[in-house]
Amino acid sequence: MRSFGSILFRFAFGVVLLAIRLAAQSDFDRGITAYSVGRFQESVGLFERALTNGRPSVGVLYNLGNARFRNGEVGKAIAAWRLAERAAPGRGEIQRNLELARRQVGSGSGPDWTQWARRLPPRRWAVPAAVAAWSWAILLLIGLGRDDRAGRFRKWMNRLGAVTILLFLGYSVSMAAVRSAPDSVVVGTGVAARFGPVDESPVAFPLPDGAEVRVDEVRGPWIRIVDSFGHVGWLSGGQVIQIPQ
Amino acid sequence: MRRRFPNLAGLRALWSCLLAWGLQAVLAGATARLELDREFMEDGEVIPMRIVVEDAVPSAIPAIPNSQILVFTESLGQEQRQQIANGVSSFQVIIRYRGSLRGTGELRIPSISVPTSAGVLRTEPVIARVFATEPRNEPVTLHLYTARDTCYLGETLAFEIQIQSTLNLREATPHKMSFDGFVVGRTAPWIGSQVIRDGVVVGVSASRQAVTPTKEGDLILGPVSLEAVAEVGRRRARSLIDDFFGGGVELKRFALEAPGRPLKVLPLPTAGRPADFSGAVGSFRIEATVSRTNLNRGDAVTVRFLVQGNGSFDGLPSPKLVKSPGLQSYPGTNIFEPADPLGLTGTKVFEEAVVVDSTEVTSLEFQPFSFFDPQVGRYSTARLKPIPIQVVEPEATGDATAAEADPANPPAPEAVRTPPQGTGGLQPLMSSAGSAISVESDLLDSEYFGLVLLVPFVGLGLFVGVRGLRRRRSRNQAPTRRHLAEMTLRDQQAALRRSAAAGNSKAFFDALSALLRQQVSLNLGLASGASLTAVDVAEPLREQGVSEESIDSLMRLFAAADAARFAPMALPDELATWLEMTEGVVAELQSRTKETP
Repeated sequence: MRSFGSILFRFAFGVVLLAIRLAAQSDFDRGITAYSVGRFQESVGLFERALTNGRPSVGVLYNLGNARFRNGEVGKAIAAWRLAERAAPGRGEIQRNLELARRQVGSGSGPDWTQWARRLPPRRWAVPAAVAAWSWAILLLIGLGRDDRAGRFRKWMNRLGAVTILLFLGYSVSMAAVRSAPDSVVVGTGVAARFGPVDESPVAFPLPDGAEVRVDEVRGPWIRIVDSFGHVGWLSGGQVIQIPQ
Repeated sequence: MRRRFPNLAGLRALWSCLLAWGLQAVLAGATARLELDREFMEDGEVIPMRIVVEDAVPSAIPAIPNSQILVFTESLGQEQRQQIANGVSSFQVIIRYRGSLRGTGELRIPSISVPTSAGVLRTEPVIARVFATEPRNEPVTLHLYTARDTCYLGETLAFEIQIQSTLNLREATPHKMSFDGFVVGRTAPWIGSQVIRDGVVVGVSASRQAVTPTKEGDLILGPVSLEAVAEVGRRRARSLIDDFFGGGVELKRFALEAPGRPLKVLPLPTAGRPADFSGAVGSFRIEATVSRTNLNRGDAVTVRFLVQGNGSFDGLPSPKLVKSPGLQSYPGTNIFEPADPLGLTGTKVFEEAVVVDSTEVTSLEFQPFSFFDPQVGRYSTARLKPIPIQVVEPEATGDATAAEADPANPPAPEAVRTPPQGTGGLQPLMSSAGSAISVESDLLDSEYFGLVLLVPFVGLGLFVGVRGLRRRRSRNQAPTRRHLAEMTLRDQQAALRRSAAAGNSKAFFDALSALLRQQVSLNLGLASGASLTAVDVAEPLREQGVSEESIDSLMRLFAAADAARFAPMALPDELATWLEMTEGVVAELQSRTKETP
């Protein structure tokens, strides 16, 4: 009897999951239809619901970015595209849309030398570098017990060492680039950075919707940001969307 | 050591680089500069000088070198100052000097090295001009100095007027300055200092002004006139109140005039003059930015030109766009932000509104900006890179093509929003959601993943270190009896193999006998195996778990060794068989030995 109950429970759970997935898929398709006929606000809602009900995917995030951009929410569009870019760094359409939005915003996306790190983020380097590092270490360990100074084993060990060092350097530089690149997007119009983390503090400089900034410090509800021109100011945390690096 | 770790040299170089970088970072905040009170002086003066060191403490007082004009320089000691501005604390050490001027001309004090706690700092070279001594008939005199005797037409340069007084100066009112052939520009505030001339302390008040010649030829800059009031003595006060209000001081009014100085104004050369030269004189850098690059046809954008450098900014013309059909430009504002009180250096920003009325326009191009650089005496041209722009037809609604493709679901008019500007280049939607992804950071995104890369090498290093330590320790230990016995066994086994290979029966059986006794004595924990017989060892070995087969082989080997003492001849094949049997037995006995603690 217990096993029957367990099977029933599992079946019901599976049905619920399938229903959620189908509902999410349905929202996704309806979002595309709404977007195609110019109902961008409705499209944003449907893509957001697809995101909430199902698991995030590159397609949903990318389409949500398009719908938000068409709906005039440039900052939120950039945030969605950046999330999609994070999962699929090489996708040309995401890059082109981001370039379009950044040109419109008129703010940079960080130093030039960090741009390539978007296409080759640290997670792309991490696994090959780890495999190479561990393999090299194992070979070195084996090599300790061998007197094979000029043999084939030593040659392969050296080659693997060179590859490991290159991968490690790539990982380190990519990590440094990501850490110095903007990690947040300003959302909303009329946002202005202040000199200090209090409401009474005077305005330091305005930030357009979609400006990409780097969060430097968090102090309660306030965050200290650095914009692409190096200006430092304080914003309320709700005025930016942070992109996981 | 170097052979085993050849990369140590590289590591040392890396460490040196890191050290140098760190030192550079530390030194980045500390500065040293040499300061003179005035840029224009006279022969025979004893002038004060100072080296100001910020955010570092000098470890020794550097010397200011003498030159043909500057002689008898000496240090007057140092003082420290701490100041807090905007919550940031800064620290200054001022080293004071004085020196005598002998002769006229350009005084050039080279860069001076200042050894400090943060390393050796260097001052920038300082240039001043020393004039011949002018006659002084009054205790208060007025002087006019210029930086150069020649200049170019349209070049802005500075001149200085100085009131020099041995009396206490109360007030000074300069007359309006207007010189024929010159336009007078900005005036810097008065700065007071002191100088010693002929053993008398003279107070100096100096003010600099900018001036631009408007015609060429031999001109006279000046004269300059000024009215000053100075204290000439003290008379006896009539009352305390009279004294309190300054009544006890005798004042005298002086009408001062400094003669003009000749200035040769050269015309701008015609040789090498660019066709587009617009009259800018100075040395400039130009940048251009545009407010947006993605726009609809008919949109207006602001083009901003940033002109930085030094020279004449007052009449500086704006850089210009290349005119093309579909572009209409309207001049806007211009703002000058001087970087010095006279406005000789700074940044001028020109703004221009540009309406783009054609989708054919793909970039904004700029005319070359030519200027005459008086420092080098030739023309230069700055060229700006074109700025690419994207112009599209304004869209009334969203994606009309897609709307046509779905006639069954027409857009609700109230829900349709006008797309934001510049959506023309937006890529189409993805038709498939794709596989699920994680938008949260995980270990692969974390800096801590670097540890995963480093752990194997740390482990390897530890392993090598521990192994080396153990080896060193074992080398340092005295060999035990068991260790010696094992070494003897290895030697005897080697001798057995050699004699078997050589077919030497006598040597083989001698070695066999010694080897068996040595191995068995080791198994049984005996000091020596010289007196052992086969019968003695069988039972104890059996108790140790040695197999019956091996004990049997051992018996046969003992018997063969004993028999060989009387008849040692054997064929090489037989020796090989005995060797094989011996090695099998010894291997099992050795395995039992290792199990014995």
